[in-house]
Amino acid sequence: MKISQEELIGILATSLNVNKKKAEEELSQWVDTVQKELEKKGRYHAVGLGTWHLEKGNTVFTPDEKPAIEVNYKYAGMNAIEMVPADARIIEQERGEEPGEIRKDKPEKEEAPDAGISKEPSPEKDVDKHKEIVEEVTAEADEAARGDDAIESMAPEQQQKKSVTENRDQDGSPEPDVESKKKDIKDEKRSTGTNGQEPQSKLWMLPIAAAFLIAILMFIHFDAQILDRRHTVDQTTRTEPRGVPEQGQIQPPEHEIRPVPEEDSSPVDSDLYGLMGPQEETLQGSYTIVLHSITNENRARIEKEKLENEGYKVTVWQARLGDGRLTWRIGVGQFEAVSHAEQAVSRLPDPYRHNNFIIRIR
Amino acid sequence: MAKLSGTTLSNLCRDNFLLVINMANKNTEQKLVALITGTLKKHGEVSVKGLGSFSVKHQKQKQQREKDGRILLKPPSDVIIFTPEK
Repeated sequence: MKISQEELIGILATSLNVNKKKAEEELSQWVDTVQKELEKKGRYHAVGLGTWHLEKGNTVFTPDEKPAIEVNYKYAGMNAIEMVPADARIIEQERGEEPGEIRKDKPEKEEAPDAGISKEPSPEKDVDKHKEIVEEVTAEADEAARGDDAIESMAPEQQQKKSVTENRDQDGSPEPDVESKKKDIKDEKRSTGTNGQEPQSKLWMLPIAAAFLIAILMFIHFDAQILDRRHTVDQTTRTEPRGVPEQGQIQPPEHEIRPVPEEDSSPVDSDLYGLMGPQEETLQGSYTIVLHSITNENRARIEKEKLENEGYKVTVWQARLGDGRLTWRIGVGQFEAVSHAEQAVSRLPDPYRHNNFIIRIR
Repeated sequence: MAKLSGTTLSNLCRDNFLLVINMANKNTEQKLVALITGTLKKHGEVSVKGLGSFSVKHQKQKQQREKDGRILLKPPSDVIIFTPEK
């Protein structure tokens, strides 16, 4: 924000309630007054702004305390910190400067980074200054801890400073004392390479950890579903029975076995479906329990008649095995669902109960 | 009532006139000071013809070696800078 001469005249005219020409005259008159005073007395003080004085032919301006503090409100209250030589050396090295000369007679002590002020007594002339700085810092630290009650214990000078800052605070600007001290400590910590940023750096790990957990849960969920499906597929197929005494090997061909979706588990009593009873017609798409797989057609017919005499619904059809051989399959019962067929298996006598497989009639 | 001489009267008039001028100047000065400080508080810049310009400059924190050998870490600050008109 830059205010030019014209803008200044305009604002001055408004504040003085005069026209611009008059305001310009007033302004130039005031400037002339300042210049004359400078030439005459070598200095001019504008109350509330500052003092101009001549120094070696140059005009030097020293602002008053109040405007200087108000302009520096962000950093007001911050005091110079005396640095331990080791800390100063670290900062210089970081900046690439040559390390300054350090007094050899002064013992080097390792102190905590937030205790930037040496507690040793300062050299002869500046003992009082150093004590003042220490007192100020401790007083401000105590005030930050206790709050407003510490104001009474502070020295009058410090109270004045505090009142200035408080007045500023009422205007809405932030309290600089505690925050400025914290800034100092933070600056020092950064310079000495402490771990002040660990809490902030850990925050970004939270969403990553959450995403990881969600991925694990999803994997478990879908894995369970896959397991369920496999279980249902296993139920629909039967492996090759071992050691069938009279018939040939019954092998459920891979190409004839299809994963069958689980249907209604309750057995349906009807004349067409069931394990026992006369088979009036072969229901395509129904399920049957295969007991024999015989290459010889005559033998297959014999076994069929045998089972029919025992009262089973028998279905015979020819199937081609994987190696190209033709075989006669003999199945008992006709079922609407696989579960019905499974229930019927339990009613079969040995050795059929353990040597069978369920297949769809096509 | 004492009679005022011509010289005294003219001096009195001159003084009164100067007083009036001075008061007006002071009023103008107060307004100007308020305007300048208000602008500087917002870290603005003001230019006064015939005098110079006022601005705010930020100074970073810096190390300063004292004469007695102590090293002080000066805090950062915003300072008022006056640049006289050439």
